[in-house]
Amino acid sequence: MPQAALRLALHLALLVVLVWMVQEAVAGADLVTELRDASGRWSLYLLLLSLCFTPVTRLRPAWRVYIPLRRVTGLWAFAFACVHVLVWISLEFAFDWRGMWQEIVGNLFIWLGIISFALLKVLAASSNRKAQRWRGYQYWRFIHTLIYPALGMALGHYFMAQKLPEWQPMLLISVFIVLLVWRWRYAD
Amino acid sequence: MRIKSSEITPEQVFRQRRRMIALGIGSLAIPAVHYAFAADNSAADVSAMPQASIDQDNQATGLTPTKLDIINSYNNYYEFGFSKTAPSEAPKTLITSPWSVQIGGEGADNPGTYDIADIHGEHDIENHIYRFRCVEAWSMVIPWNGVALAKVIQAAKPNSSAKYVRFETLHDEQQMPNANWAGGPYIEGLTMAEAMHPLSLLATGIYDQPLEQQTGAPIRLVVPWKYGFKYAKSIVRIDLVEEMPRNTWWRQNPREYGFYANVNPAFDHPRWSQATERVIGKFGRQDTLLFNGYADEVAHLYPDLHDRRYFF
Repeated sequence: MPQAALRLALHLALLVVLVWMVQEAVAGADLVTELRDASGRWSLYLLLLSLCFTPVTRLRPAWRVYIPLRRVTGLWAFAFACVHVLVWISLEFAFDWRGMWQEIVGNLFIWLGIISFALLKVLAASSNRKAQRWRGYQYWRFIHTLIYPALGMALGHYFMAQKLPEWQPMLLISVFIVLLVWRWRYAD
Repeated sequence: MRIKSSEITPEQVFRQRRRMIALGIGSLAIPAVHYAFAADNSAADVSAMPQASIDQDNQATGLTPTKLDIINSYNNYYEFGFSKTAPSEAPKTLITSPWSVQIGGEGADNPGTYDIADIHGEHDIENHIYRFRCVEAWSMVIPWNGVALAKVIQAAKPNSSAKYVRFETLHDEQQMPNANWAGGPYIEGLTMAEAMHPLSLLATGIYDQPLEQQTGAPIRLVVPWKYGFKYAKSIVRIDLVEEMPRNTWWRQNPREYGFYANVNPAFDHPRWSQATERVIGKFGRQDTLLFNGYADEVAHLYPDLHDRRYFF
């Protein structure tokens, strides 16, 4: 498959996920939390997936052809994060800024989410050739290692949002640790 | 339920009484009182048109009850799974009939075992529309049917060592797929004064329908001024005891949950604000009220309202 077709297929697949997610939430008892939580989770899945591209191509060099999908994956991770944040602002708090501030203040887990989202914004905004050329590729690469703190904080945000330690965040955190160790051990 | 047909109040009479009760409460203008007693037993409630009675209770309280399908599909019942939908989606494995509740403990001079029909037969079924506030900062309005907890306790003849009431949920791996999440049965507790308060109920129904597995069938605690985790579900034991019971969430996460768990918008949860709440089925949030709006009725139970212990 040519790369453009691959990218289109991934775009469509993730659009289907988004539509399905909205549909599920509308059908459920609590649209607001369901959509908020599902979009947050999908953002994490896609961020983790985007980190898998390098190790996978190291193991199977032939799969290098899929590398262009990393950008699509990352951008959709940001899109789901936007849905997550917008649901919180509009549906959950109905633009009650004072109420949101009350919720945020003194709440480490929300701060982690906010900082992570701010970093993701930088990454999404600089995910083009122009940004790669702006201060040279090395600088761009350095900026994009921000994915690690961003994802680490987002996972902390997810973990701390639970009442009890649950298996899902633990599993995602384990995957992240494996990827981190791999990077530290084997990356250039 | 074994009820002779002669005991069933004709619908006409029932509704007339309802109207009189609603009128009575309205004209007395008692603030925030939600008692709309159906003087007869549960058969009347089952035979009457639910919506009609709810509407009249509604006029008396000014609260709009959450829709039944929402109440029945958005639940925290960890014994049936951790998500909000797991309890209603789980197979119906809970055997709620026959069901007996053991009432005892060192504080009870007249311990005994009752089945649900006994409890219904001995005490009046009351209908109360209460606010429901979860510690997770969401809320509903629920039209409960149940008996006054005080009457059930009184029947057990409490003695001087009855300082607290301990509630125990069924713990059965056959009937509950996640029975062991807390390593034992779900435990809750109240002080004697809280348990004897007229707002405290042992609920057996919602909207004049029996409780579902996911809402704590067949009998559960209702204490509307406290956070929802206090409302022990599917109760099999009630003990009158001398020592403060160590309730499940207190044991699970003592940094975040305690014994009293009274609703207070001014005392935040360690991880979120309790100042406002999300109303399930609506967008946006509303202000949370001190004691969930029942301060006039219950504030006197707590000598120091600045004591963090009572709100955690």
